[in-house]
Parts: sequence; structure tokens; C-alpha cells
Amino acid sequence: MSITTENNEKMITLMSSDGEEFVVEEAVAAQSQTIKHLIEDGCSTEGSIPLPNVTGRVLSEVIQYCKKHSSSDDKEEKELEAWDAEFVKAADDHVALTDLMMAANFLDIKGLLDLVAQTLANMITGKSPEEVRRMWNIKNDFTPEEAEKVRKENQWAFE
Amino acid sequence: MSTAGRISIPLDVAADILCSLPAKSVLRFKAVSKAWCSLIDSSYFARLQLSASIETNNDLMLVILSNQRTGDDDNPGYVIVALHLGTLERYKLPLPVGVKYRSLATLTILGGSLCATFTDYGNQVMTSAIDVWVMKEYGGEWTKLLNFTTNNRNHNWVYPIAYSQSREKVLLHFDDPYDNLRWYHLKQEKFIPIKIPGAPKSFQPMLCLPTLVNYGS
Repeated sequence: MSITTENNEKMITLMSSDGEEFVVEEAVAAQSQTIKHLIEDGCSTEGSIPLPNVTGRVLSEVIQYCKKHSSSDDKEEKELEAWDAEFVKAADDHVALTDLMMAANFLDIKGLLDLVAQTLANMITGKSPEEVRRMWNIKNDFTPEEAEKVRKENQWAFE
Repeated sequence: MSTAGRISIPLDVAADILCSLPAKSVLRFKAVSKAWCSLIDSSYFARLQLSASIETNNDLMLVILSNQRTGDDDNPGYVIVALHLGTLERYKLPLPVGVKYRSLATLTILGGSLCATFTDYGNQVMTSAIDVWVMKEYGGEWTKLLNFTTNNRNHNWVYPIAYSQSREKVLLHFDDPYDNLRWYHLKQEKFIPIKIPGAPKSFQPMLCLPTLVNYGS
């Protein structure tokens, strides 16, 4: 389905995994390399583009980011940086950030991916392996001997 | 948030986060799980981390060897400190085992690894013992690469510059005006002199790698 707005912007419809539809300008959606390729391959001509890996809640955040970054030009770089900082702050916790990061990964939006990766990296940089495991429900599958070996080999990193 | 604690993270997403971290945190997180450990040890991750570091230039380490001549044989008085240029955090690196107080030390980079050369004059007038150590993984253990004794006191110091292509030989620079550059064959444990016709008696060699990649772009 392609609609055209008053100022001749081509619009496309994105559908989230939970069936929510978002009508956005093509230029905004095309910041996602994945969507850009889908449009180029003609997937947007009939109905909406389904995004089975992204929920409506996350997709609305992603679109917010893409809108901001497609309307800004270079001279607003400082303002954009401040906006980015507020944007990741609003995501609130590592769960929301991880959702956002997986969406950015699937949709292939480099700017968003780098932004969220750096935010999560800053969040975990001083944490212990155990704290990181708890954040993402990672199972510690080392035997006590193996754990001790890894620790010994990288002793300085644990100090 | 109600979903907290119920989220999992795919390995490729974890890799994107980990490559934005300083090396010290990355090494610590090898202890998270076997999958994370193999990811961090993989050449895929090494390339990812390197390109991220070059892009942001935020994980540069300045390594300093200082010689506080206050020690004795058990306490050589050398300290190797790494300074993270982004955070200005300081880490003390270990010394190779058995370094003597009377040695002269030089710190260089050999084949991408930290390399320390110690020249021990001992109590002999005419001989000195030279040990070259490399730290293959940053923060890891020192491995002795080569050692030899020289009875030529024409030179005061020596340090390695590069490996040969096959890594069988190491190029050494001596401050000996008659014998500046020599290959050292690691297996055969012998020197192969290099003569450069017309070269000055004293010079400072440096390595350069002609490449088509422009790091700044």
C-alpha cells in the first residue's frame, strides 16, 4: 500500500509482530537497511511490510529515532547528540535497551545500534560476571575448575 | 519493570556490546559463560573489537616501564604500568620472572605484542646476558622468546624490531656501530648479520607497513 502525502512524500506501512500498524514516510523507514532492501525488492507495494521480530512498543521507539535522524541535518549535530542521550535515558533499563538493540540489529540501523550498544556497554563496564549473568539470564556453565582457570588466566582483569 | 530478569541476549548482539568495552572488562566477561568465553577468544571478535577501537580511538593504552633503581636482585626495582588514555585508569603489569636488579630494560612492541628486553651485565666485565620476553595476550603472562650471551662490549643495549615472515627469525637492533642489525634464528639460536651498504654507523630503525587502508577515513 503506498499513499502519498500533500508534500509528495511516499508513505509506507510497517506492521509489528503484535499486529500494530505504523504509517511512516519512506525516507524515515529507509534508515533501516533491512526495510530499504525490502522496499527495493518491491515488498511494500502490496499491503504493509511485516516485521515479525519487533513488537509495537519497540517499533514506535525505533520510528521515533528514525524520524528525528532523518529530519536533522549536520549543523544540528550537538542538538542531535543531546536528543540521543535523552532517548536512551528514556528507555530506562537494560531490558528495554536490549529489546531496542535487538530491533536495531534486525532492522540494521547502524546509528541506533551503536548508540544502544555504547549505552549498554557503559552500564556493564564495572560489573562482575555474575551481575552480567543475572541481567540477561545467562547460565554459568563452567565447572568450578574451569571458572578458576579462566579467572587465573585473566587475573588482572578481575582486580 | 515486570519483564526484568526474563530477557535473554543473542550472541551477536552481545558481541556488539562487548566490542564497545575496554579490554579489561572484556577479559573479565570471559567468565560469564562458555559461549561468551569462546566469542571473546574468537578471531571474529578480535576483528570487531579492533575496528571499533580504531573508529572511536577510545581504548588506547600507554605502557610505561620505569626504572626505580632502589632494588636488589630479589626486587629489581622495575615497574611496568599501563595507562588507559580514555579513562586515565592505571594498571600495574607483572614483570617477567627472574628479572635482576642490575639489568637494563627496554620496552618495545614486537609483532603486535608487548616486548621487554633485559640486558644483564652481571659481574663479568666482558659478557652480558640478554633476555627477550613477550606478553602475547595483553595482561597475560610473559613468555621468554630468546636469550643469548654476548662477549662483545661494543654495544650497551639491544632490542628486537620485528619477526621474519615465517616467524623463524627476529630482527634485532644493537647500538654497535659495526654491527647494527642482525637476524636471530630462534631454532638454530644463531645470528645472521645484515649488511646495508652505505648505511650510517648509527641510526634509529622503525617499522612501517605500506597499506591501502586509511585508518583516518
